[in-house]
Amino acid sequence: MDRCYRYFIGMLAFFGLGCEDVIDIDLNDATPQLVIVGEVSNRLEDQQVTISRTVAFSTDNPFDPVSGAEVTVFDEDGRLFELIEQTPGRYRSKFKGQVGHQYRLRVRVEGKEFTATSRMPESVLVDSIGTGIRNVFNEEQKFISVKYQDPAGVGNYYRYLWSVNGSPVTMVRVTNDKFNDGKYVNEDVTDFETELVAGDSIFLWMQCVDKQVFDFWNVVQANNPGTAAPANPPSAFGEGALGYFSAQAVAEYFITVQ
Amino acid sequence: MVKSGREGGQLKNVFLAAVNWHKACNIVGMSFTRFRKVCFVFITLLASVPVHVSSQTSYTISGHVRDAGTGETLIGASIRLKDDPSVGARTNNYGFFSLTVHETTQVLIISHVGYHAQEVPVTLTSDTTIQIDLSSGELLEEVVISQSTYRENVRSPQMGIARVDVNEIKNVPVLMGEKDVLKTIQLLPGVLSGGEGSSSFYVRGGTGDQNLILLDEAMVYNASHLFGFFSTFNSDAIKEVNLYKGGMPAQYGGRIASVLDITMLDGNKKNFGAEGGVGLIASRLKVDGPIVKDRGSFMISGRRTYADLFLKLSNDEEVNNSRLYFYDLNAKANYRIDEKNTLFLSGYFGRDVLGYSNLFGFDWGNATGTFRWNHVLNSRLFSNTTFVYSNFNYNVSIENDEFNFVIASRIQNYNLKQDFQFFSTSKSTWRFGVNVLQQGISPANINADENTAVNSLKLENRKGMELAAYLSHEWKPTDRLSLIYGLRLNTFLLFGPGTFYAYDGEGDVIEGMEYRGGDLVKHYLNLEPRLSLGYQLQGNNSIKLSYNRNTQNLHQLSNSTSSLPTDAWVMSSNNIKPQIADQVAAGYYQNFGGDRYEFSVESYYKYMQNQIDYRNGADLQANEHIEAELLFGLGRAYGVEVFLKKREGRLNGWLSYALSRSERRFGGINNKNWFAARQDRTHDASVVGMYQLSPRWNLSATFVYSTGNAVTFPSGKYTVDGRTLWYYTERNGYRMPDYHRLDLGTTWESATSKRFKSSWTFGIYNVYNRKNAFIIDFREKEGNPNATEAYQIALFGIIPSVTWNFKF
Repeated sequence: MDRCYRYFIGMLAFFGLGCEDVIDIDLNDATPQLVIVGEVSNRLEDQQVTISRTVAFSTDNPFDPVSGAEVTVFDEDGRLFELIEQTPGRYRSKFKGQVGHQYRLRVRVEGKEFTATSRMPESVLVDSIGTGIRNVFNEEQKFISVKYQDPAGVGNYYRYLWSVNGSPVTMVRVTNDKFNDGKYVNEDVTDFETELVAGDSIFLWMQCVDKQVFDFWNVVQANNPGTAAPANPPSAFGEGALGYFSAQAVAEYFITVQ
Repeated sequence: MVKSGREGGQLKNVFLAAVNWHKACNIVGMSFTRFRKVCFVFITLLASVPVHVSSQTSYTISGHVRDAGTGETLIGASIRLKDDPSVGARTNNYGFFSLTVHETTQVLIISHVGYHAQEVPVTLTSDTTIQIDLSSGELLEEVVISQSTYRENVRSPQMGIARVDVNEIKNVPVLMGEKDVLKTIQLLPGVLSGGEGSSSFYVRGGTGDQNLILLDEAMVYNASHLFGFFSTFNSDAIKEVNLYKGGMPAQYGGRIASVLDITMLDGNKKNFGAEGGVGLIASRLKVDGPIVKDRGSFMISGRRTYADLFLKLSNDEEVNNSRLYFYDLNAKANYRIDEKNTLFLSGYFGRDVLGYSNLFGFDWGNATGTFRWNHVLNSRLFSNTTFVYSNFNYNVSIENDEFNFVIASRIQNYNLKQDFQFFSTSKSTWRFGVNVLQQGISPANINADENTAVNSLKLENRKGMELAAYLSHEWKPTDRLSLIYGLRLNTFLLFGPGTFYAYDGEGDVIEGMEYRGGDLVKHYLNLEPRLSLGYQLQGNNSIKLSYNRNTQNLHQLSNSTSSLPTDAWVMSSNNIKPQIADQVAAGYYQNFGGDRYEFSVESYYKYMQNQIDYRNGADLQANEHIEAELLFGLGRAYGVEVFLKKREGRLNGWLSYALSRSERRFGGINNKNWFAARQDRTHDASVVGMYQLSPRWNLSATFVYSTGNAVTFPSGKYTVDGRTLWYYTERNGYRMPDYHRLDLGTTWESATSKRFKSSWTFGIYNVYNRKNAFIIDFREKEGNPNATEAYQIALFGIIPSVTWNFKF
């Protein structure tokens, strides 16, 4: 549907219809809501949990850190990792997660306790990576083409992040294997906004995530202007906090756009 | 071997159909036991009605009313006694009337809007059949309009109805000059536009899929072309349009918000003719004429757009190999075997085709066919038997280096209707009948090559059957009081084969149940009482009350703001209960200025059960567990509608205004508080004016104003992994900006000869270039991803159009 919508907008643009203006809207300032995002990967690195609050739409900085939380990750073997607040709102500890293991995150903050669990999926590695080019309505679009073999018979969920020419790491897309379970997949990685040009150097992370994380980001990316009722993505922490906890198998790639 | 196998398959199908029928009959039998009880009460009530028994002999005059020039039957023409205008009849959908009177010598006045009234003296010694031909007036102002034609809105107990005069549509300015029934009805009170330039509409707080749209009795599943900008109804082929917003008579059922009943032209029975037009978007051509003079006629009308011709101008090969067009074909033929038997065959076929080079193809469309047999059993009993087939399907094909697959989906029905009208006395008409509808749905299936990058996906087909019986009585117990009351009994049956799942409150599967072909999965029985009551205060004013219940067993699922041909249909099931709406309405009706002006105020309250919404992030495409994504709740809608119309003169037109509210309540949404439905628009007003400047120049203007839709905007934001995400607190808690627009049009009749007429229509859509917000969205500011901004997209600015029409 996402594609249908883009096609529709593309068609309008082609016929010179549609006129875009930046406007002022008086939006309410909601009571700030807690946001917890936790990640544990299969690499020996700083595992991080970010705790923040929502801010008013008109605020320039969207990150309002929450300090002084007690953040703990438990693995299924009874091991326990305390995460330490290194910069405001960012809690870290260096350890390595294991594929197939279930992890539990516990956050104690402002007198409340939030928990969530996540099982780290099996790792799927990229077979080859390159530059793809698509021609849409006379416009050339470049994207990163990623090829991999999807494991058959299980639900797989993938998340891509990138950093283009040293920019901060940004979430790009989530995909699943609803329509291509067990196939050799050629994924076009693009956020439909960033224009890639030859010579761009890109760090690309491909993560195998669990369904809960996919559902979170899928709601975010499915919310387009044509959505009848945009809504918050499902929270792993229930009422009282937004966000998710992801145990993820991660692989990092580097590519120069051709 | 192969052959016998196939025969075996056919036999099996026949067997399964028979089993289906058997089960259906059993259930109907059960239903009828209840029905009989209800009927008993009904008849007891009837028996207690004081029937005016007269010793005088009575005679019945029956026949058809037709257009003198074309032989086209006239719907809703009035036949009244000159001496006692309170005694009269109206022609039905086939131009038939029956009037029973006592006195032997009578003068009848026969009249119809746009026609010269005629006086016909009759001397009755037995039941008499007469055929009346009315000649049409060239210009509206010349036509002698008898009061009786114009009094119908006051006199009839029917309320909540809007009739659209097809000749009127011609002069109302519209987008791109494509005259459009569905856009014209949006200018009536209580009917809201689906959005900028959209042909979809919402009636009294309902959604788009709650409108029953009938074309010659065939259900039209998707009434729009090109994502809703044009309706599938080519107005060249249309004779009559009636919209019921409330007080639906018992012969209609299946949708809870409205019935839009469109009748196609029969075709000229006297002479061959052609008419057509060339516009910016499409060209049209209609040909009609007699098959056998005065006995039978045909009509064929076609339309095709040519936006794709502009694509050919592109020098990009992929663009100029693209396809973007739609076409419509309406055809109808009728043949009068004798005075008592007439056959009709009509069909519609339309399709949209989109394609981008050879990489992507997308086409969709409706096909309907209607066969009807009118039979006059006797001068007071009219029978119509209808068999309808209706189909909507779409195909998507994708073909490139790595993908090669087709997505296809289909929804179709076979519908058999038997309807009787019994003209008991001049004050009492009965209508009763039965209806058997077989509904089939093939959800979107993916058909992929073995070595392509996607898997084939086959979702189970669904089969249902809807059986209905109805009885309705239009009765005038006193000169002032009249009423239509009736009852519709509706049974819905869902059949196997297939696996039907039960879900828990979270949408997780509890169990899957296997059913074989012909097994009954679920059945629902609904009684739908209908009542409209009119009381005439004086000659020219009346008050009316109505109550009606409607139910719906076919539901369209869409979580986007624009309706797409790919929106999935589902039937009532073990998870989905029939939607039910109860509506009460009251109104005041007044004509003044010698019936030149018509005024009405109607107010209504509607309560809706088993309404459908979706879980957050619901996956409605190619999903075996689509029913797990649904939430069920309540709806309520209420409002006041005001309508003032000037019906004749050089200046005519109307003002319409509606003040309304439409709300929903769902367990998982907005903490179970009532929230405004998206189409909740507090104020909605239209002004339509047409002015005959000279015999050759006609000017017209339309102004519309409405409150913006209720929408969900963020009330905060947060950031995750470099992306700014919106924080939503309330469903539909915000409003789009007010919508308003002025359109102008003018028609110039160029020099005409007796044989050839032509005219030019010029239009300007959105004259003052108002940038009405089509979409409002939010984004990170370019260059400063930390900051955010809101932006709007306006779809159509000022758009001129020109159309050339001809007729000979």
